[in-house]
Amino acid sequence: MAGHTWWYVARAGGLVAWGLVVASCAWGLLHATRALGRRPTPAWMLSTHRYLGALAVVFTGLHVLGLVADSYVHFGITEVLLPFASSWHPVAVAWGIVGMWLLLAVEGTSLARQHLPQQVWRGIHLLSYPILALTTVHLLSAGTDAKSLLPETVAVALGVLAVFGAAVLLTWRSAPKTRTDPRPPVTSG
Amino acid sequence: MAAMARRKISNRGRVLAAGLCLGATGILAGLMAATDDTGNASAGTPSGGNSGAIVPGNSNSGFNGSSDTDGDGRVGDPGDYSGVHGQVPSGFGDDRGSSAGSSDSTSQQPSQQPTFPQPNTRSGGS
Repeated sequence: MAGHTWWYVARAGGLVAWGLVVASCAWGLLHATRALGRRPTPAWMLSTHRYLGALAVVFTGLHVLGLVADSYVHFGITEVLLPFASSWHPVAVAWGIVGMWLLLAVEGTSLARQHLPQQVWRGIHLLSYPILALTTVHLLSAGTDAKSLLPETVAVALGVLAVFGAAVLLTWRSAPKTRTDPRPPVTSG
Repeated sequence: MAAMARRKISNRGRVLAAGLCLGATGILAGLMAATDDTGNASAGTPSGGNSGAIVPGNSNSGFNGSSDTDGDGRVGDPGDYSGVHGQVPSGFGDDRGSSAGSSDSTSQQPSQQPTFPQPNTRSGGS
């Protein structure tokens, strides 16, 4: 029991990190679509979204640290940083490693947003959707806890919600252009 | 600046969220440790702490009750328990000598002579 503490910490940290990635994506969608109205201010929504993303990075680090420190599944630094370097489920682990690097890219560019062109930041920030997909596939394929039905159901449901949310976001952003046209005649009249 | 900070997530909210995540990690890890079978799976490996377990028929376990150590062909008799020789009550040697082969009784006789003072044990064995 005591010898496997890091193994349990790695698994629990990975699950929480995945939940934080989902929550951060959902918060970003709610912020971008203004779906909650003006009650939670946009600044509060944005700061919460960014904080959830930072927590996702921290708990991903805990997940990786636990895997390196654990002796149940032997992972070294190379195996947790490079895709296909591990002999234990190399493809399933690779999904998580790629997702981790993309998460770091999104977080890093968000921290340096003021110094980056808007198009560059937006292009990298849209990698959040592949991150959500990659980490979900990683959870379902490599995760020890994916054997139970609940994580699979939740993962599929959240995937559907993410796709639906992205569609809503795109529709919402295209909508104001059509709404701004009728205003000038109203004000002039 | 203060009004702007109030619009963002507060430090209390940050600590609460981080504590919530840490608590969830701890609870999940505890549940996994309590119900998981993957952690116990390695306990059966040679390095997994199987030492000390009594394995039937394992001569290294310190329990040889199921093996024939006295060479009389009978498993589980009092003579098969290590350290029992010499404490067997009188009369037992007669029974063994009559049922076991002569080679068995002769090989054991010298070491058993001081512990079996009855003279009929020697005569029964040979």
